[in-house]
Amino acid sequence: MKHFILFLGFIFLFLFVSHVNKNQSLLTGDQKPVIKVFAYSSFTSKWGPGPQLKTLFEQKCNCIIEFVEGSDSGILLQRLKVEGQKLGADLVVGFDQFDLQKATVELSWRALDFSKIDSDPQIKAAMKNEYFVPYDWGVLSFVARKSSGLPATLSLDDLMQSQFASKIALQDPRTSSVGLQFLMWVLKVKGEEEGFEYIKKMMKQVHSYSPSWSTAYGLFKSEQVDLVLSYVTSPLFHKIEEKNSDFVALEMIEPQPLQVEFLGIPSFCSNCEKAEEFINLMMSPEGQRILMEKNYMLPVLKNVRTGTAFETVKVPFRLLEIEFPSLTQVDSILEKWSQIRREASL
Amino acid sequence: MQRSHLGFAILLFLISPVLFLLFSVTGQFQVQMNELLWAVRNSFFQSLMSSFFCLLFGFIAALGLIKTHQHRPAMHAVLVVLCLIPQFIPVVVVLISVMNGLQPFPMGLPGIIIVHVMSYFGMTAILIQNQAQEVLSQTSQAAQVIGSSRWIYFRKIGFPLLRKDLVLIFSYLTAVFFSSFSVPLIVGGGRGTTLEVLIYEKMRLSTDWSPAVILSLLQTALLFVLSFLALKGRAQFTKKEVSLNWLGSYVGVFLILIIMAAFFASFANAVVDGLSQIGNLSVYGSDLMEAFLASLFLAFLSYSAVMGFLYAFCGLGQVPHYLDIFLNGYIAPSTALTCFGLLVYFPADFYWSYIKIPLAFLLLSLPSLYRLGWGEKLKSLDSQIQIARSLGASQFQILSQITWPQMKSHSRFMSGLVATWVCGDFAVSRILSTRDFTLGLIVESLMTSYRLSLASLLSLLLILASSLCFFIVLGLYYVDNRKFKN
Repeated sequence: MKHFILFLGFIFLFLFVSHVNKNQSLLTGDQKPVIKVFAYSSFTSKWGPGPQLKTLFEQKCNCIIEFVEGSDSGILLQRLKVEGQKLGADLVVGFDQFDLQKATVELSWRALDFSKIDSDPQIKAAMKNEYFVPYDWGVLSFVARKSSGLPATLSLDDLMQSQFASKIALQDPRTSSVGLQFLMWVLKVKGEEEGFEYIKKMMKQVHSYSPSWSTAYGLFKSEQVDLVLSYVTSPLFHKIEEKNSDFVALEMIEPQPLQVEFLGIPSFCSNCEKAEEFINLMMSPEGQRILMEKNYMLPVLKNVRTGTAFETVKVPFRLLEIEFPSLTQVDSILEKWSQIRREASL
Repeated sequence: MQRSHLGFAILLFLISPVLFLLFSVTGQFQVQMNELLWAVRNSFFQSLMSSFFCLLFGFIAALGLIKTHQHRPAMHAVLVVLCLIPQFIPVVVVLISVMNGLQPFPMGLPGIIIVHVMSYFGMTAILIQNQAQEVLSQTSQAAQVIGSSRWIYFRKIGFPLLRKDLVLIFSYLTAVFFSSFSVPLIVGGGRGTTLEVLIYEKMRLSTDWSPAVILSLLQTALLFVLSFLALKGRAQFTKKEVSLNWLGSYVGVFLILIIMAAFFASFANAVVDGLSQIGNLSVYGSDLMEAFLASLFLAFLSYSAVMGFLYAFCGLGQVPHYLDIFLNGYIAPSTALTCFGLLVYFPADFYWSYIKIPLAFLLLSLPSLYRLGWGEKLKSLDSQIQIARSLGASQFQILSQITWPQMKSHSRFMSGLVATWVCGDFAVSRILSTRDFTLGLIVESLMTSYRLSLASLLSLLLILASSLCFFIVLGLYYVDNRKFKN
């Protein structure tokens, strides 16, 4: 028995040591600087844009890119606060417009200026931020199946129809930025008073408020619901990767919200120039194309979509202006939402 | 080290994540009363209902186990394995299967209750069957001889005798469900926010963690009360190999078979969906094999950590009264709080994940292992230890010649359980690790992109790793027992 356990122990120890050695030689063997990039998991995963950008960058920079994951932007910020300085974060990828103020309050950032790049006119406003650079964006909409026979255009009020009762998957605005987008969208379009009345009714109408976009999308994929709040680019994923053209992003009568993803360099970075070079790569046509094709989001640079499948994505004509709500504004809206949720479930 | 010091050190170790956070958090420690009461109400409702239905289904299933226990051993073994499967496969697989199988799936409190019952009814059935075997063996034969009907026996004798055990199982389940994390988070759907999910929301939403620490302390206090409500007064019985066949029923057998068949069918359906994309897995290349091995390695480290800790615990000999009370009450520490506590305290480099994850599981699982019978077994050696001590045996002699030889096999099994859980984990690893290096994390990453079908497919590999782990543990346990008998 003892021998068997020792045998297992040795096998694992050997594997562990060889695994460590493999990575150590990468990290220290060539004495290359290591640029630590904090990012969410779908950016750094095999399917995300991270690995391809890393390979491309490492070919030129004589350095190593090392990703540190946080499951989403909320956790990423917490992780950065707890571990950022200990780990020496050089670059942070994956904030949305709701995180920026929190990030600015919690940590100090290096000034970045990419305002002069030839960006898509729809997100010009996002380019003006002093510390954070947008690297991709998306338009939120309700995604449905063509075969479910829904009209191609809907209004927010149409969602209250009985045919959609318990057939809409939304995200919890406290844990999902897509969920927060929906809440802000309703309040922006309807005004605060009417907006919260709408949210109250939606509490009864909605199938569920999932903790993340992925859980809500999973409900849609398993046909538990007919509509899910997602991106206008979502159907393209199914078309390209699953060869399934049955999905459609509905056009809404009201102006639709924009989700913009940002990156920034913390002021305590140790390889700040290299981090900036990495940003240059991400903002180059080549980097933008990788981001677009892997993230299934729209590129910040103009003309990158031309000649690709993304050219067919219909970006709605009416879009909401990008806003950067303050922390107190978000907190008070979420508090009110939580109160409505509590009352609805009592 | 003196026994009293060792006991105190164990206590400090178990509450260390709370201490890390208490000392590192600076805030106003304010909690919104409305929100708190709502979450407490949800936690109580879902945990009590989950426990009730678990006990109900578990009892019916136990009748099936009793029916087959002596006369159909092969079928009994199959039923036991079927009952244990939802306990040992990763939670993500149970979720995929249940949510895929029930259309429309009722999100919110009903959904939480369904997933909990699905996961725990089998284990409850086994616990009830074991207790019935122990408690009812003396009276059931007599009742059968005098021609009592099954129903009258249960009503007049069986239930009163089993009542304390059923309450004990109910209270254990309630405590486990009360602090359940991933199921309410995913299936709660915004309507079923529990105290544990509220702790997570507070930690995620704000950089001020003081409300989360307060909520966690409150949850611990509630669980303490809950645990002690049903602890006292259990009578001791001797287990006898008496056939309880006449008490059993094939209805229980059918219940187990139907539930598990539905479970497997809906999981197979999800996997078949993913098969169309099997070619896409080639992107991972050798990474999948590395992740497979890394999952097993983490499981092995966790196994060693728990075994080491249990060995040190045995060094106590007689468990100090305060530690016994603490461990019976501190049954399920907050997952979110434990993970964030370790995150604050330990270095952030990737290789520390191999320390942090096993440590988190050690801290999270030890109180329940103690409550699951390990503590009782250790306490049953008290008289032997007392005699040895009065004869002048040293602390080390007592440990190496009395306590550990008798506790080793049980400790191995308990450590193996933890290792199996670690193998399929993604929730704890996601908070504590800096990259996708285990199968659980890869599956979770796929789920957070559009690739849900591929995630279902890959969860097969996750099941394989967990099963491998489980069968190694089972094998070791079997060999140990054989050795002990010989």
